[in-house]
This record gives sequence, C-alpha cells and structure tokens, in this order.
Amino acid sequence: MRDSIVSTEGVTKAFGPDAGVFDLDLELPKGKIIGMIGPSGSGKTTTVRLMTGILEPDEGQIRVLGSSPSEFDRDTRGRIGYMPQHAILYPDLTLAQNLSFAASLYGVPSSERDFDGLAEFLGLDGVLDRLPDQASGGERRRVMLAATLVHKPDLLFLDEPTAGIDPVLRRRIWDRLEDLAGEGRSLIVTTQYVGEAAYCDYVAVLTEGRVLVYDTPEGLRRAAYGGELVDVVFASPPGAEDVKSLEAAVDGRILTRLDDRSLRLVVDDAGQAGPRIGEWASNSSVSIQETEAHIPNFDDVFVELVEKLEAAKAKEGAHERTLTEAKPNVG
Amino acid sequence: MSVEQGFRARFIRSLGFFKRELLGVVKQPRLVGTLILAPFAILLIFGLGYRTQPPPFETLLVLPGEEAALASEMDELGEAFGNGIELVGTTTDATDARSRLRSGEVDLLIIGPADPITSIEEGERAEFVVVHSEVDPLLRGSISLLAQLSIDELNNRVLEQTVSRAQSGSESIDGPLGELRSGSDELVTAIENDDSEGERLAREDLLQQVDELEERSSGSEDVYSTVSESLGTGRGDVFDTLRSRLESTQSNADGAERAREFEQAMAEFETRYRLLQETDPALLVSPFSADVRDIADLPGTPALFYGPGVLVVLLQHVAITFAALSLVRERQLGLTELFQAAPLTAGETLIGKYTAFLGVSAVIAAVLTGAMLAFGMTMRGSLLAYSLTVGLVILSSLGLGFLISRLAQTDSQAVQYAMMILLVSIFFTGLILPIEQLIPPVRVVSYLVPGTYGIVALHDVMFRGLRPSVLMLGGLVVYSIVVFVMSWFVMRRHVKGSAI
Repeated sequence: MRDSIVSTEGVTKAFGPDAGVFDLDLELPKGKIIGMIGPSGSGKTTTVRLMTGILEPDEGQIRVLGSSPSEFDRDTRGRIGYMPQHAILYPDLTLAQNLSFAASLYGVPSSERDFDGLAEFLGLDGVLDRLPDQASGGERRRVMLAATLVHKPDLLFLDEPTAGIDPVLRRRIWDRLEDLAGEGRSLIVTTQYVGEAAYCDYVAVLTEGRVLVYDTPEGLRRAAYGGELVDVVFASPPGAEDVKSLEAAVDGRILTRLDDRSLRLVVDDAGQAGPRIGEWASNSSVSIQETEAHIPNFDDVFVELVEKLEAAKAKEGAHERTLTEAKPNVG
Repeated sequence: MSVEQGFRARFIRSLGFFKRELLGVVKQPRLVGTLILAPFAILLIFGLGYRTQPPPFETLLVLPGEEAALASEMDELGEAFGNGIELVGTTTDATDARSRLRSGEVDLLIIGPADPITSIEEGERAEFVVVHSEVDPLLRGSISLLAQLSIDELNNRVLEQTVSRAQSGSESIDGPLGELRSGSDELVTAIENDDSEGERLAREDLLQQVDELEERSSGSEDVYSTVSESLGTGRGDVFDTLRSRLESTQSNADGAERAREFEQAMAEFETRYRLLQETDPALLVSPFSADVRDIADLPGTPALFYGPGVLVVLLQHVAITFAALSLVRERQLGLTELFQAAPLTAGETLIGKYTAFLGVSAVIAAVLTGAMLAFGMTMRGSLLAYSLTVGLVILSSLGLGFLISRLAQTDSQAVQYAMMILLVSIFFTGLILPIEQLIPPVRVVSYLVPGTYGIVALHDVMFRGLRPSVLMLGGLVVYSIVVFVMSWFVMRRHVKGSAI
C-alpha cells in the first residue's frame, strides 16, 4: 500500500495457545484514524505494544514509520506518541507536573511546552493543578492524551482512550482526535466501543487475536451483510411469490421480515435499489408504502461479523481464515 | 536533530528524572524529617544512655557448710570482684541459691569450696564455683573474665599475707647477725695474730651462725630470691656464698682479705634482708603493672565511637531504599510501558535518578554530620576526605538499590531486601563488632556491603586524622563503578533504550 505508516506481515505474538495475536497482516494508511475494535482479550493492546516496540513479535515483520520497532532510533521514537490503556501518572505529582515529566521524556524544552493550549484543546482548564486522585477518570484520561501530544508526534497509538468515560465526553474526545487527524497526524486507536468505528477512517475488527475484518466503516457493514440494506414497507402483507419476485428484481435477498408488512433486503447498492423497487411495484401491481435505506449500527455489524466467523469455524472446523482480506482498497 | 539539540534533549530527559525524584522526596516532609531527625535522636539517646561497663551482677555468696568456715575468704572474694558485682547476701543453702538464680532474683552465685585445706593437702586447688544463667555472649564473657581476675586477686592476697608473715619473722635474725658480726671480727683478729686455734674456733662458730641464720630466714629469703629470679637479677644462694667465703679464709696467705670479703657478703645479705622487710608485700607478689597509653585519645563519650558507623549504615540504607523503591514503584504504576515507548536511554534515566538521590542523601549527611560535630564528635582529618568517602558510600549504595529493584516485585519486597542488607550491615561492617573477629571466608560478606569500606575509612579520617586508605577508598570507587554498570543493565530492561 502506498503511504502506509504501519504495516505488519504474518505477525504472531503468543502468550499461550489462545492468548496473543496471530498471523497479523495489516497496512495502515498515513494521516487517517484507524480503529482497532474488539472485545477485551482480542489482542488490541498486544498489537499496539508490538507496533510501539514494547513487545517483540515471535514471528513476522512490522514496519512503523519505515523502521522495525525493535530498531527504532531516537528520532523515530520521538515521532511516536503512545497512550497506554490505563492512566499512568505519578500519584504524588500534580497533573501539570506529570505533563512536564512526560514532556521531559521526549526532550521538549520548557519554552516549547504549550500546556495551556493542550488544556484548552482537551477541556482541562483549571484542572492541571490537582493531584491525580483529585481528578475524575475522564480528566485523567485526557491528561494522558495531553501527555501523548506534548511532543507533537506524527503517529499516535491510543490504547482505549475512551474506556470508562461517559458518552458525552467520549464524543468530545473523538472530536479532538478528528482534529488531530485533520492536522495530518496518523492515529491508531483501540476501543471496546463498537459504535466508535463510525469515527474512524478504517477499522480493524479483532477477535481472539486475529483480524476478523479490516475495512472502512461502510466496508464493514457490507462485509457483515454482504451488501447494503433497504427496508421495504408494503401496503398489505406480501405473498411469498411477491417477495421472490422482488428479490429477483433488485438482485438482492431478504435479510429479515420486520413485521407482516415490512421486510429488510440486502442489495448491492441501496441508492439504486429504491427506483428499481418502485419500477417493480408498478409492473407487478404491488402497493409499496415506503422504501428506505437502513444503516445498521456497528453493534449489529459486529454481532453479524462474529456470527459469520463462528459459522465459518463450524463449517471448516478450524479457525484458519479471516472473512475478508485485511487490506482495504485505499489510496 | 543537531548535535547540540541532541545533548539538550538528553539533558532535559535526565533533568526530568532528577526533578521527579526530588519532588517525590520533597513532597513528603514527614519522610524527610524522619530521615534526618530519627537517626539523630537515636544517636543522641544512645550517646546519653550508653554505659561502657555492664551493671554489677547481683551476687549471692554460698558458704559450704553450717560452720561457715570460709566466711572471711568469701568476703574477700566478694571484695576481689570489686565493682563487677553487688553482693546481695550470704547463704549456706545451695539449693535455695540455685533456685533464686533460676528465677532471676540474682545474677550470680559464688559457691565456696567445701574443704579447701584437704584439697590443697591432696595437691589440688580449692575451687570456687561461679554459677550464672546469662545468655548474652558478651556478658557471659564478662563473667568468665571477672571470675578469673577475682580468683587471681584472691590468690595474690593469700600470697601477700604469706610474704607479710615472712617479713614479720625477720626480727629473729638480729641475734644471729650480731653473732656473725662479732665472730667475723674474732676471725680477722685470729688470722692477723696467726692464732690457728682461735681461727679454727672462730670459723666453726661462724659456720654454725650461718646455719642458724639460714634456718631463721629461710622463708623470707626464699621469697626474695624468687622475686629476684623473676626479675632476672637473682644471684644464687646467699648462704652458699657466705659459706664459700668463709671456707676461703683458711690456709691462705690473704686469709684476712677473704675474711673481709665474708664480712662484705654478710653486709650485702643484711641490706637485702632489710630491703625485703621494708618492701610492700603487694609489690613483691605483683611486681609488674601495666600502663596503657591511648594515643588515639578520643574525647567525648564512648558512644561517639559509633557515630560514623551509624551515619554510614543509615546513609547506605536510605540510598538503597530510595533507589529500589523508585524503580519498583515505576514498574508497579506501569510507567515502564511509557518509558519503553519513549526516546529514553538507561544512562539518561540513571543519571537523573543518581543525581537526585545523591543530592537528597548528601543533605541528610550534611545535617547529621553537623549535629554530630555539635555534640562533640571528633573530626581530626580533612573534611574533603570525609565528604568524598560519604559521597562514595551513597553512590555505591544507590547502585545496590537499583540492583535490588531487579529482584523485588513489590514495594514491600524492596523494603524487605533493604532491611536484610541493613541487618547484614549491623553484623558484618564493623558497626558494632570488629570485622577482624570474623574468619576470613566470612569476612568476604563484609566487603560485599559498601558500609564496611565507609566505616573503616571514616574511622581513619575522623578519629586518627589520616587519609582514607587506598584500599578502602579504592574499594568504594570500584564498588560504585561495578554496581553502576550492573544498574545500567537493569535500567536497560526498564526503559528499553538501545543507546547509552
């Protein structure tokens, strides 16, 4: 992939037969927000630690900013910002002193430290004089994010930055992350909140240490259902022949019946499906009350993907493949 | 990044750790106060309350029988023990006495011999038995020494009495001495007049008087001869000398001259004999004494001797604890993860931490040193040598602390390891017991602890006014370098830096 900032090839790091990450193949583009989504224990943190050089892979190769993490030089490390999963702060130093210490780790001179700007950017005004245990969980997470930004890195690894934070604050944090991406920075963000996939440019869904799917958010939906979704509401309950005829007309398939007059179809292009359904209704004298594209939430998408994986595992008897190629069509 | 920017970044990283560690200590004023005040208070209380002599042992005399035949000897023995014991009573019931000893009511029993005369007549010493139940090895040693010294003292008293009696018998020889003097004059007169018969009679009479004199003065002269021989000035048997002088006066052309020599030998005998009479019996029995001259001449209380040792061990403990806890806490907080992702090296981290802890420990050392000097601690050597030694003790201890952090997984484990080293320091560094009393293989343990080098060096500097020995100061330098390098390897795991 052109302009990939991180690439992995056949990377495995095992902590036991079922723990770790296995056969990781990823190409992460530059200047984007890449989400890594999966349940606890799916291998998100291990993946980030491998990419930052904290862990070394048992097998495979990783390239980050053009270098292997095990051979990062100072300049490369200085271009990376890493926010660990937990708020790691000295309890006896104020939040400002913790920020100052973080800046010193990256050799940032006092004259170049813009803590006020960071505080304003992350909504931390008036908070930095407190000790960590006097701050809320959300404030501590934002201070950690600020500590990751003190040296203005090109590439950020953020391990669950929104964990344990209320939805409003989560939204604010994602706004800030979008701002950072807008400045040209690359962000690799892990999260347990499947719905946060919507904020990402690309999403890798991980389960059991493997990449289940890696695509754009829209691509995820398509991967989950095999196409786009359209809800059709009939004026009266349709017969079985009518449904079959409709499926053939739109070159789709019925996903589910919503009630006796409504059903949800999987089609290749929801935009084109509307006119074709109208045309089919005119030709077949069926009265259609409403046709509307349905955008499933990512919780449903995730469940669908996992169910597909389990079905595939049951069919093949082994967990040997991912559902889609882990290289999205970008750039 | 230019070279200058690179150096500046390195400096900023080290400074970051320096500030962090300094803030960590300064933000705990109670800890700092404890670190400075507590050891000073300990030293002060110890100095005020320490006695070089153990308290007297409360002692019960046990007399061997109803008649209390040895009562006077027992009293004398009690006196011989001097201030070492405090006599609390006398009893003839040995069983009750042992019971009181077991219950801790008394510290010592001195049991007299049942039949000393018979023992001596049978060629055996009459034995006083000293019984105790002390468990402290130092006090046990004190009791044994005290008992031996006291028995020696008692034996000396017996000897003194014997000598005194011998001296008192000297008056009875005035008669024979007068006879010898007049007989000698008669012999000279007979020789000068060629009166062979008179000469023979006078000589026989004199020989009889010599025999008489020998018989009367035998005890006293024996004592004197023994003393003389002990002093290396013995001149053989005086009576044999007198007899041979007397024999040499017969059938000789110069018989009168020989008779005068006899008179001279007799006069010498009398002089010696008078001297014996006038000499203190205690001097004859114990002619030697010891004059111990202390050229170290340490002023102040004996407790001050322990000051440098306590200071060294305390600084060592503080530095080890600071260093060990610092890394363990960072690991527990998860900061290691941040460090491993940052452009940070082991060297930068170590320099920051070393300088911060060296600074804090140096302040503690300066305050404690000032306090010790204010309370009369001797400082005969150079303050520079003192400071250098203390600085090296702190540096080497910090390295040891960083090594401990490699072993410890938690705060409490780090503290336990630090306490173990403190315990080793108490027994093996010379703080209390001289390391020379350890057998050489065990002494190796002493030199695994930086405090050993520090204590020896500070004793030289402070008490003897010497420069620290090259071996001790060099040992500290080598120790500091070795543990620094080992700490660097430990720190590399901590921060994962690839460069120095």
